[in-house]
Amino acid sequence: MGDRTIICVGNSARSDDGVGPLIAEELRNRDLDIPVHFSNGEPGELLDLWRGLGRVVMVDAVLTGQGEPGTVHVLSATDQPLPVVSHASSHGIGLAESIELARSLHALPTDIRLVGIEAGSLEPGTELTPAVRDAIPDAITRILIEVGDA
Amino acid sequence: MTKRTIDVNYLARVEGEGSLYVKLDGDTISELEFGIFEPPRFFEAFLQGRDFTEVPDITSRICGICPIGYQTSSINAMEDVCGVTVTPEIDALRRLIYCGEWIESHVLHLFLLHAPDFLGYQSAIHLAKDFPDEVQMGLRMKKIGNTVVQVVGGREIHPINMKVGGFFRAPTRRELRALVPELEWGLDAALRTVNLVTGFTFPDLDRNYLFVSMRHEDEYPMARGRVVSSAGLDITAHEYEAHFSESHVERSNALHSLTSDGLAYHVGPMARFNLNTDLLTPQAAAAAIRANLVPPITNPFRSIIVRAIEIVLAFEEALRIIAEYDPPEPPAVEVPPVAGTGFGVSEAPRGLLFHRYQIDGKGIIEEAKIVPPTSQNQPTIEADLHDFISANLALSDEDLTWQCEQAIRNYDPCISCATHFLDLRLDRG
Repeated sequence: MGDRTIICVGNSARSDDGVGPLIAEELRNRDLDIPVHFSNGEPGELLDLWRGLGRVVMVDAVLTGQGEPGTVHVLSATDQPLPVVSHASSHGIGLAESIELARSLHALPTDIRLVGIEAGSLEPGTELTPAVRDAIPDAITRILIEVGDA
Repeated sequence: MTKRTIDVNYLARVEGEGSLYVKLDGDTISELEFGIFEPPRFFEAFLQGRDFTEVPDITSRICGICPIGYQTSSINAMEDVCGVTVTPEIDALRRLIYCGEWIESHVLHLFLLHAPDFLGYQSAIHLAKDFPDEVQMGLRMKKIGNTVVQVVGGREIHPINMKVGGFFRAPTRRELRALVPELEWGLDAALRTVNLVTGFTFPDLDRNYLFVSMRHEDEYPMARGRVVSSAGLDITAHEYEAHFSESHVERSNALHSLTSDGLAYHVGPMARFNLNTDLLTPQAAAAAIRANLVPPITNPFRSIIVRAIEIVLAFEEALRIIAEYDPPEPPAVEVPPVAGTGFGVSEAPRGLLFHRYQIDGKGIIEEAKIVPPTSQNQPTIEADLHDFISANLALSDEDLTWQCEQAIRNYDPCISCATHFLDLRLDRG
């Protein structure tokens, strides 16, 4: 399991964006053989974490507009970019952009997947919306399947 | 894995969102609004009722990219109200961790967010394909900044070692000396970075700014000092609100900062540089001369060179502080709470960051006020855009949009550190 890692991304001060850190905490309590990291999504940090890894499962809140809040989406970014609606003129560096930056630098893990939890609210606040909170067990099941531990 | 197509509008990394709306009637700008979301507003309410010693930890969560700035201004304010002065050793350690933050923040902005504008790339992703060595250099420099913050601050993101009165634990000499080889490499890389950005082409725009920054008699400003301006203002943090105030702007949730005379002002690297050129460190000063940076710099696009100079300065200062390091013993001074109002400023990477707290005799916070650099620059950014668009109406929508974004990025507004899109609409009515 040495080259497999789970990386949860998020911001606990923005409501459902806090789902990543909460899942990280939950996974760490389970004493998995697989490292579980939390990141605020800063690209340099992600590139460092990804270095030399085989399979990485990223966990983050997402807004797709497809599915109710709490819907768990699973996507692979190994061979193609995450389908972010492109705002071509922006240089913001989010998770999708960090993945592409790593791809440009030939520094992407051999297998990288996203388990995304559909957010209901990203307003300032420290509480998750109930649907997103209730989705955490399902999300964890999917994360463990994707990382190959279930 | 089941194959499906889902449009991810955005992944949630949303400490800030930015938007620009410009309406043109023929050759006249009838509306121009640059908007940002400001997380500190939420924290002001959140801080009420909390203990004054919790403030550094809470405020460090406002921004993932400049926690040290938020910690430092809040600590300065708490030490101010309690009437405590820290030792020179604690001051030095604060300056060291601040150097780490400037390196991290400036390098991220320069290489990954701003350089692509000047080199004609849509993003750092495209830039990295053609300039992998430069991008790798930037990532390594940034990591050095992260490491400084980690070693002094205990953690990279939301560092936990800083407290009101000093530090929970002082790093050992050995821990800091271990940073030296990478810092020396970083200083050299920073000098190469100055050369790199000096060769860029800069759009024409020169404006008559009112610059505001801190100033300290002994050093280029970071964690301590007074507030000065290019108009001759020279005040303490106590007097800040008598000279600068925020007001609500119609059609926008954001607060705009103006001087008490209603003027826009400019904070950040250009303001610091122009008001403190005489305090640059030796290699930063020499690099500024080589880059032909003669103050006052008034073309905001040249801020990228100033940022590179400040990266040189931060590496030099980090090396100097480590060479002279004497671990503070004890690592913090006692700070018993005193009822009253405290004021604190520091120079976050993006500019002056003002905090005010009212606490009671038990140290419970009754009121908190935070004025981040980006909200202070907001009227100036709008004024830049106004002038820039008026002079460049012949550009296509696409080119004008691009250059407007580049003009906004001159200020490294916090929208760029945390979010992915600038929702930009141009309406040629």
